[in-house]
Amino acid sequence: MNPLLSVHNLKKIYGEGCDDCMGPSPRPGPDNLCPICGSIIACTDVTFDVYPGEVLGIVGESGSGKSTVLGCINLTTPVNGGEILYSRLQSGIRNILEVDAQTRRTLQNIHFGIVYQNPHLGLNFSISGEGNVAERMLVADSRNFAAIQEKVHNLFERVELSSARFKDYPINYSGGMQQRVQIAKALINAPSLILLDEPTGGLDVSVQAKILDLIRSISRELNVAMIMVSHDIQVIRLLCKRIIVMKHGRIIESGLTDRVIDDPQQAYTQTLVHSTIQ
Amino acid sequence: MSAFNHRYKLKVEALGKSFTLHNRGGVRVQGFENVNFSLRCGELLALHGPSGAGKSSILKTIFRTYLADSGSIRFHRNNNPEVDLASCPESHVLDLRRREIGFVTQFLKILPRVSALDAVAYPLIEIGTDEEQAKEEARKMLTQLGIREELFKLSPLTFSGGEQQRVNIARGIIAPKELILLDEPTASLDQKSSEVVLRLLDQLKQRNIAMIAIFHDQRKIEQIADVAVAIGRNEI
Repeated sequence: MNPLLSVHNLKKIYGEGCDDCMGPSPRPGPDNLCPICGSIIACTDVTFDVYPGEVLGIVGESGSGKSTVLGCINLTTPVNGGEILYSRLQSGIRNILEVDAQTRRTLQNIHFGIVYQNPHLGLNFSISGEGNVAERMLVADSRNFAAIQEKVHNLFERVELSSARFKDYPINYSGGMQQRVQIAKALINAPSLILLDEPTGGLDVSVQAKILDLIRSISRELNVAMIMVSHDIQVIRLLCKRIIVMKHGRIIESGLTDRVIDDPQQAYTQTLVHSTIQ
Repeated sequence: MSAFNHRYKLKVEALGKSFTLHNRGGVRVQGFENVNFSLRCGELLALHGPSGAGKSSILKTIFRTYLADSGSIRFHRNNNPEVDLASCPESHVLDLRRREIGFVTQFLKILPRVSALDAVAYPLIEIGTDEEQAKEEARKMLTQLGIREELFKLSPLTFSGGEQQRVNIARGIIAPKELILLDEPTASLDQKSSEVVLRLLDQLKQRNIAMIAIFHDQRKIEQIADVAVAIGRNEI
């Protein structure tokens, strides 16, 4: 099977940068700062593939570069190096870091969807929940009002949002509902890849279970690929067949989820796994 | 080559596994070493021995949850070239797990809110079976294992230990496999349910599936196993 997305040597530096940290395989330090110039190495040498329909997990401590990688793929974070090959554009396999502005918008609005831990990043709080999702169809060039409304309502039913709440503003939704509207928004244009940045962070466990069940069933029914960033190794174990472990902006271990969690080879992965409440 | 030429479905040779704990000063813990056995199609091989001898670790190493540090695990495939499970790329392992090698873990691990029926049907859906047909087969399998129909729609996390174990078995064997690994499949079961499970394993043998199972009960080994391998500390 050919990858849907291939990330090669992705690099993001915050700060001036120097020849060392801007080059391949910069010198590691005790943290994610360049030991020479002090710039923040948000991610470097990040290479991985995502296959159609799979859920790939990314774990690692705060500041390890997980969200940076998602931002780079979503083309919202400018990168300092590397390439991201994507196979579903009409023009064939393309490095999406080099596409024109219009193609970039097509990728962001139609091919990819993103769900943030912080709903303020993913939702427009000045329009209704329904409007949030419908707006995304409009930017994807849908113009038939009745068709848009029907599609949005069908999707809201799918994510178990009651019809009485369609027209409410996001501020009046519970945390779990905000996440479900974000998921609906991410799904509405039938993307091939959904980026999930701690989608259940801060939710209580019963709401978390609902969201995870929704994510699981969506990935199965729609065969959409997902990259899921999470702190919760047990969640990742149940949802993802493959995972990546990041530390200080680098991938330090990757592979089959059960192998990485049950037989971690790297010291940091062992610390991470052994710190988890089973 | 005909199947006749392949005497073994699985051949484990000089297999060893240790764990290096980097955060404990690099201390090495020996899991097992120099394990040798082989298995044919339609045979059930029982692993037995004291707790901590490494029986589960051997199963996990064959399933590639653990990385072996020495030896080989040659798996002969029906329609594909032989692979060494100790060293083949992890990308092959995912495919092998979907279609050829199953693992029934000792305890059920599952997302909350997933129903017993969905959990059991999923391995079939994953390999392309129509959803309704998969659910029908899941119903049959659960019924055969004595799970009451009123439980099908509920999360197995609310079930008793024995019921969970049977759901786990159903999930592990429902999709066609060539090799199935079972970690104490009858540990939480009463006599009657154990008999049901053993009958089911016997049916799998009739279908020419090779199995490796951990049992503690000598009578069960005599009843179902074709080969028994004792695993002891540091020896076999």
